Amino acid sequence: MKTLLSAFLAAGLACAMVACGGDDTVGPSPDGGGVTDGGGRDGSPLGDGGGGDTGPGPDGGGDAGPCDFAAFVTDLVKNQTKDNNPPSTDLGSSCVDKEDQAQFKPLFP
Amino acid sequence: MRTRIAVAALSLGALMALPDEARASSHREAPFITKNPKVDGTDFYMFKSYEAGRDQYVTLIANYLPLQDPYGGPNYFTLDPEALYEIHIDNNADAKEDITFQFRFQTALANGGNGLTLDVGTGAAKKTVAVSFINLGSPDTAALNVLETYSVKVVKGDRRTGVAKDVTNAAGGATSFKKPTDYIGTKSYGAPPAYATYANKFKYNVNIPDCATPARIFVGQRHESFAVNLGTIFDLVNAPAAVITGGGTRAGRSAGGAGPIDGKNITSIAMEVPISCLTTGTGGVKDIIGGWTTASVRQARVINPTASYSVPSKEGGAWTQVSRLGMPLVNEVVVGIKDKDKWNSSSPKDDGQFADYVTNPTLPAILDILFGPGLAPTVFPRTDLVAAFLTGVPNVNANGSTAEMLRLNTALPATAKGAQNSLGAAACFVNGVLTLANAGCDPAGFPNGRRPGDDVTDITLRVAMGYLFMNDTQAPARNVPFTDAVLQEDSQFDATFPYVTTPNPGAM
Repeated sequence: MKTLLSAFLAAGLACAMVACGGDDTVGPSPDGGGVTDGGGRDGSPLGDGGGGDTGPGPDGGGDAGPCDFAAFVTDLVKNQTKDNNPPSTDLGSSCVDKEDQAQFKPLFP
Repeated sequence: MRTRIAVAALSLGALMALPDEARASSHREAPFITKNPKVDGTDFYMFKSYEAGRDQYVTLIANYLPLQDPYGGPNYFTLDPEALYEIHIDNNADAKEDITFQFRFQTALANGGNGLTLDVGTGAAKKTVAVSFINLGSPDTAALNVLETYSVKVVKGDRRTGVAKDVTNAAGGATSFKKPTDYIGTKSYGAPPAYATYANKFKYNVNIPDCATPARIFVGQRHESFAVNLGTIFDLVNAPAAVITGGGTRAGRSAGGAGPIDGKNITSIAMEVPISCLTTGTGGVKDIIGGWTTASVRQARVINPTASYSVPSKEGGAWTQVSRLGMPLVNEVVVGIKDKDKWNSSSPKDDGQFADYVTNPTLPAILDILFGPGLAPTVFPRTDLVAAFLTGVPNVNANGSTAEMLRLNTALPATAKGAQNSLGAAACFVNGVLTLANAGCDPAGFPNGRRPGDDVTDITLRVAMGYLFMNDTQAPARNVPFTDAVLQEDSQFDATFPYVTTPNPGAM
């Protein structure tokens, strides 16, 4: 439980620092460990180096809070081609959900 | 003693009536899986093939999508194209998969993805409109509206990081296989023998990479292969105690009145694989394999607000396991409700976290609370259950690992249909001692693997109540022949692969 709590805190802090931007790592795990590349972590689940494609929301703002849930989910979805990835243990609990369908439009071109 | 037997019988039924999830082997057994029926694994079978001339093969059957009402049209019961169905084999006793067979399913509409159409109207008012039925004639023809296919891969080593190779059709090398349409009804398919003929066309001889001898596969709807007397049990064991304790006649699975499951269908993923392609050699523990099935889905799902047939949602992320099944009934009546979802997401190598459920089981304790004292075994930890569920039975199928999975000693000969004992290898024990000369001893049956005709409910109940103990002091009810009063035996199944039988039709 302590590890999980630390993970969530780390995710929140990291998201606050970078507004949930992308990274080049494979998993959404925020703990910097247990994923495959050992690279830097910023708490984002991005697997494609992007993140700006869905953005923090259609309003263009980055003011959604420490982490944007739509970006978090979108980045999980985009992780699909990497079958050897372990599932994320970060469930996005620290993210704020704007409840805006439009944020997911890029998934349905 | 008669009173004690009666009490034990009542407590059995009362116990089974406690959780709704405990309706069958693993049907809707955990809270989360009830939301995902297409990936709900219900039963897993692993046995040495008893079809004539196939004694060098092991049959693996993983059942999914429980409690199918045969009339469930127009969509019936396709498997999930966004899921990964797997059968795992551990052949070196480390409780980790060494060989994994992966099944992925696809559904497609006929007519280039538009589905079958009819011209409706005349002249300028005529329009071509997609039909709502799954077929417009015999499903064996172009009149089929939805085609379900699948592919199979084999992975050596870790299921996620090992190298995956295609399993191919031995006739032509194709990597895509067709799945028969469910038994819509007799007007579409004819009587059950006609459907059986139709379904038999979907048994494939396949080549598994690095396996010199072809295997066989079949995936399709089958008659529910598990049996349990639901109505009686859930109506406060509405049957004479003498019946529940084995003194009466057990109703046949298809004899009528055997409970609603008998009228249900299931979807079976069946393989028959050469033993030599599953084991690492012969002799001693090399002959023993462990097996279990899992289903995984993508970790994330976004619902398409403007859904289409091809894109009702967008799913992605790492494969995330949501169903696991090896030994029957474990997640139903052994694991506590708070851990049932955890169980489904777990792996055998990590089963130490569930050990208390086996060494100190609640099932006999609940019987004692409700109807005792004096019924439950008194020896703890329950090493007898550890042997039955976690390590395998010494000198039968123990291989040195401690984890929950089906274990099969492939060196033991198969028992032909008609000669099998539905109590399987459990009938080889007398006062807790392995006695191969015991009348009825059938070492080819559960818990040495599991055949469709093995009555795992009765075996599990008796073992839980102390059948493997040596004296009455240790287990007062050890020789009570507990039964759910539903007969499950080899006569109810086919003598040839895939053994599980023609499904119930959706309409007569």
